[in-house]
Amino acid sequence: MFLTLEEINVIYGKKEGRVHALKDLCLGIEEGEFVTIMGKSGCGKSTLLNVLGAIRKPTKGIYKFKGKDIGEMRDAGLAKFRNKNLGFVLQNFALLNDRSVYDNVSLPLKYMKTGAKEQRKRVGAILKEMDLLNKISKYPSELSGGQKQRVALARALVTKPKLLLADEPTGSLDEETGIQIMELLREINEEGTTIVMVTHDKEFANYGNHLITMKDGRIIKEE
Amino acid sequence: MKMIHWEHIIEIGLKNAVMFSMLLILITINFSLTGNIAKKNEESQKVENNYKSTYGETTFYWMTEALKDQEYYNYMEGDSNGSSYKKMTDLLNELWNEKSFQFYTCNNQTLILKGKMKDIFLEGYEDGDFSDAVKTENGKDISMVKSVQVSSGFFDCNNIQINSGRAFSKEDYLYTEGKTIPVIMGKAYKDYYKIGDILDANFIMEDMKMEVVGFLEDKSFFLSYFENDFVSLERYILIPAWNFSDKSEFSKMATLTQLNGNIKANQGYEELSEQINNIVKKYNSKWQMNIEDPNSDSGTNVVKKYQKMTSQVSNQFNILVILIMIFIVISLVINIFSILEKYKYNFSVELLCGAGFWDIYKESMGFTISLILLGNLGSTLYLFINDSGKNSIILVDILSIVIVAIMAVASYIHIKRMNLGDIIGGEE
Ligand SMILES: Nc1ncnc2c1ncn2[C@@H]1O[C@H](COP(=O)(O)OP(=O)(O)O)[C@@H](O)[C@H]1O
Ligand SMILES: [Mg+2]
Repeated sequence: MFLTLEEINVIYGKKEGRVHALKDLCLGIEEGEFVTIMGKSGCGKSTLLNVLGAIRKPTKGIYKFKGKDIGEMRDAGLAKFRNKNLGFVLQNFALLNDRSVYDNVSLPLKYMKTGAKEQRKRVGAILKEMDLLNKISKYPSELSGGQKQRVALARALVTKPKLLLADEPTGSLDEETGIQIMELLREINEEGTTIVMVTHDKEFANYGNHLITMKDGRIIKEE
Repeated sequence: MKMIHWEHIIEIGLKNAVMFSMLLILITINFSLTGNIAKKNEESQKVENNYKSTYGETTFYWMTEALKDQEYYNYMEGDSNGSSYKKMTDLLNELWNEKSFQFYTCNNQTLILKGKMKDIFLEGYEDGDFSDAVKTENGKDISMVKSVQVSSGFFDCNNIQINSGRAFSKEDYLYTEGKTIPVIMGKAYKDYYKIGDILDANFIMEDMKMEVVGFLEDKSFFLSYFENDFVSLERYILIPAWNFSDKSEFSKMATLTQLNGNIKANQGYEELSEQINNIVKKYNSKWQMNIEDPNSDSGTNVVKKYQKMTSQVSNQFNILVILIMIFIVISLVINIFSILEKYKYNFSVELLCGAGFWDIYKESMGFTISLILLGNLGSTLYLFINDSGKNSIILVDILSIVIVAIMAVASYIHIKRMNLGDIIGGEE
């Protein structure tokens, strides 16, 4: 198994304000899968991505990535784990608006302490793949939504991650652009990157080969 | 991930240049202020310690001769064989030599010098009323200056040191007519006189020549009965109290004035008064000495008054340093936390890209430490130029370290509570 979640529970807040966002959730994902998650707003999809992204430690439960227990890692180890293995794509693009496309895409490489030459090579290659080479010194505000999401994808992929986590990557895009992004994701998946994507769109969910439906912090359907 | 992303810190600094500069100026000024006050405090502490080591816990009393008119007349004119004068000098010597208390002559006396003296040396200059202190006599200017006639105990009891030249010798305490009188001058005179200079003087209506033999240390003070206070000797001329070889009118008068002085004693006022009266009665049962207890009213106890004042100063100093520290910390917390909030989104993005909590913490602390360090450097430079001393600079360093430590804890808590992970799914 590529990654496993065993009886994951996430509880936000304390006492009256408590929200039990994930309830005894179990999940296994094989390498190379394209997992899509559907479910009503507030059912815990983003929380699940937070756990998979090693950003939030589950209140209870075990998260293993390639057999390694993520719960045992400390802050610096987790940061390194994220940097090396994970890429994120979010609905709001999560780009640094005060930095150029190049600086945005090269950011993960800085945390990897990649040399300057290597950085330039890899950023150039991924931007070419995303058809963004001509935007290299532009700022996010000068780009269209589809271009922004491609910059985010470039940034997520520049480190060649094993797992790409996407939270409604098409949520802020029109249908046509959404389809473009989905095609890109399909390509990336076909090249071997495992993808876990949250979406509201049933059609886009069908891009996946492992479909999950959630309700109230639990998985209610898996196909 | 060990390295600090200084480029991020510099970027944050540049993007918030106004806030950064304002904070920097604020910190520099406050640090400089602290260092400055520290210097002042150190000085006042030094003065206090000086008082304590000089005067300790012992009590001072004032003594003045209080001969009735008739007795004074009898003493000056009455006895042709000089037996009264002999008794008076014996009394004076017994008091000077007494071991169960220490009496020294300390007699503020106007000294008249030929010529026109600088204003600062004139009698009454400190009170702003010295118009009468320069007169013309027989077509020549004469000046009235401040002097104290002292016996040897004066130097020990007030811990007075000679800066240059020499102290009074045994010889100097002997008077023969026509002798050149050695005098020691306060520090302020040093700009105008040198050792060996001869002054044309008139002291208790007697013309005499005086020779400058020494100058006093800069911060010399003495307990003055006249002022009921510590008085700086800076502008005083010290004249030795004498034993006389003759029995002129001058020596009689001077002997009497030499009974004016201070008594350092551990016994209480009652016991001391009785003791002195008994000594005086041995020589003449009608003579009287006036003993005053400046401590009877704690408000006029100058030693205690000064101790209280200096301890107040150092209390206020401590409070002030703490207030300045709180002020700096609050300013930093408000401003740096607002910067953190402003950069929350950026930090979240960095988190997704592989930054850890510590990377973000280091960026924030790097910003804080840069500020404190630059402020520290600026104020150290200021204090150095102003010659504020090592201790002021060390205090500012300690203050910097304490502030950085407080900020380290506060920033840690703040960043932990920022929930940077909310960037995923935080929109819905
Ligand atoms: N940081 C948080 N603090 C408290 N409650 C939260 C937090 N994040 C999410 N929740 C709550 O947890 C539940 C699941 O949220 P989320 O995972 O974002 O759902 P989804 O992404 O499926 O809409 C919701 O009820 C939401 O209000
Ligand atoms: Mg969500």
